[in-house]
Amino acid sequence: MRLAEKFELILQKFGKACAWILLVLLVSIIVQVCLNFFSSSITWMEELQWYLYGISSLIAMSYTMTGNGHVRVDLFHRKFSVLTKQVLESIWILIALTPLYIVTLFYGWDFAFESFKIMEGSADPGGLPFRWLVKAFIPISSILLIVTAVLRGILIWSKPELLEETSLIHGD
Amino acid sequence: MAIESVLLLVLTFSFIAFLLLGVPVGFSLGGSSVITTVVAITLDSLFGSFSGLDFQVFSLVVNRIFGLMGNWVLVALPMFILMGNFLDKSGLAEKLMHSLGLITRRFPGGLALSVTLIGVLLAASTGIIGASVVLLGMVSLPVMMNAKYNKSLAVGTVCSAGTLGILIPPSIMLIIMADRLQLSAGDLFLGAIIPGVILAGLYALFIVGYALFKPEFAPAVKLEKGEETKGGVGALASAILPTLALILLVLGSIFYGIATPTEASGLGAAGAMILAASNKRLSMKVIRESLEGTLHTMGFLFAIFIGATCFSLVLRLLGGDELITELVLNWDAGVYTKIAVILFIVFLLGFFLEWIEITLIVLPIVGLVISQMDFPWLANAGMDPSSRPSLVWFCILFAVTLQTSFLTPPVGFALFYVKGVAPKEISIGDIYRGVIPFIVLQLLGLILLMIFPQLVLWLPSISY
Repeated sequence: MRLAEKFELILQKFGKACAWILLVLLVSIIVQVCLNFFSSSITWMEELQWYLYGISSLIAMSYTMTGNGHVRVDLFHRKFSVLTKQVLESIWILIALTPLYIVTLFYGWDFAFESFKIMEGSADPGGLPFRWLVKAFIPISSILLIVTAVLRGILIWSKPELLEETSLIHGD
Repeated sequence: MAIESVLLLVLTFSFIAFLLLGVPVGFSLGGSSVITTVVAITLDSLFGSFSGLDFQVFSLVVNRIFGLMGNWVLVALPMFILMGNFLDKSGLAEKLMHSLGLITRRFPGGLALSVTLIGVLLAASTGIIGASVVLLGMVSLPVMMNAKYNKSLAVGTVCSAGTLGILIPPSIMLIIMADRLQLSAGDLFLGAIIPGVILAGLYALFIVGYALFKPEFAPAVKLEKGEETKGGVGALASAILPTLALILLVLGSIFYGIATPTEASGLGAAGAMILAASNKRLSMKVIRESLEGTLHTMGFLFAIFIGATCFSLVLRLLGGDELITELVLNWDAGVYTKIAVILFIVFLLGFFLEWIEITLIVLPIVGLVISQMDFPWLANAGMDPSSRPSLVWFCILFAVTLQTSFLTPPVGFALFYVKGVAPKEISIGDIYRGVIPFIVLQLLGLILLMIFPQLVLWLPSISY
């Protein structure tokens, strides 16, 4: 159990570190706007922006999971007992989340590997290389999400307070 | 019964069951799609039927996820959310309430008007309806209670002004709508400006009328001795002008075609950061929390994107799209009756679902229907037909409908959020009573927009 907790903390720290990607994205958009103002532009800048956005958004799914932040319809859920919530939580992680992200893991791996074999880069001259690396984040984030979710499914039994929404926005 | 119908039922019921049991929305959508696929494969192998659904087909989802990543318009999402987070933490809402309150509280209804104005100014949406309602409620409810405002009027004002944020640009809902229907996000932003102002104006008229007829419910505050109001105008200007400048920077750069919505989102986020800094609220902690908060929101948005992608894919493979489209198209009724019925269904859906999943799943289907309809005003819309004015108009109707839905008892989202931050003496009954006049105003606004499409289409038609 200790191990699971430590592991979850690492995942959360990792997510928080990834939040800084968004600041890099902000800076790159500002630089691009400035360059446009002097009517010059860099092709790879636009690609860099969607790479950063895409990668950070995929990683964000497991980060949000560590804080129990995925929105749900709270009509009946808040009235359930702790035990009901624990059982339901374990069940949906097992039958709703895991199968879907196993599918994206396997097919995402194929998708990225096909791209790696031909060393796919940007179609534009002056674009960024390593497009396969971006595609690889589909299977990578799938594993991250499954691991985070399964950890959560285990941890809620010893720490029922995890069922409350801990607001990552205000806490540390 | 055809195998497709059985599977459509499985898809719908498993989705609703997951949702009501409190499974996060994104995983309800994704989970029900995978379960339907598994059922399809099982039925096919047991009865030799051909549903056309298996994991090979389902794996198309991976390409679609990559499409979501490589979508340059959606890059604007995290930036506008970041802008909203910086604005929330900038202390501008408190400052505006304070300086506007100093001046307006001497008039009946003045404080309520200030709340509406702040709602419009700080409309930058963080993507969570709750965020703006909670912020406005925290800042203004204690002040209005101290001034002995009628409880219902106070909460009604907060709920209506807070939910207006999902309509008034830069709204991330409009960006997602634009992406789904391949419209220009700039057109939608510009199209939403006049409707947003009209709704805010209707609220303001109501508040003024209320205060005139029942001044005891929205009383003016008598100034105590020693309280200075001089310098109020200066303080007000210093609070309002930078906020206005930020809005003009974002919307103006889109209007004049200087920046794409994505570039404008970056400018907006940087501008909000500078505003927070000039308000002496910017610290390492605020930056870190704003970034982490943005990632947090992007996480649940993206999970819903992926879930909705799976759901739509399965729905389309089973012919569910065509079923709905044909049902509406073959139905013998006028276009406006059809639109009214569609909007009413959207309104009902808004009781149970957030705007994200309604926009992602329902909008593309009904959008297809709307684009095949002919409207008498379409020829003189003043917009290039390739920018699809009828859809731009419909999206704004859709947005106003959703906003109304979030205000409507008994289950509107805004009502619960405001209950969470309201002082204890405000009951849920006060809240229900308070929002009713505003719902009537929403309907009035919606009818105006339906009769006069130019209210939506005029600004996009004269921009860049």
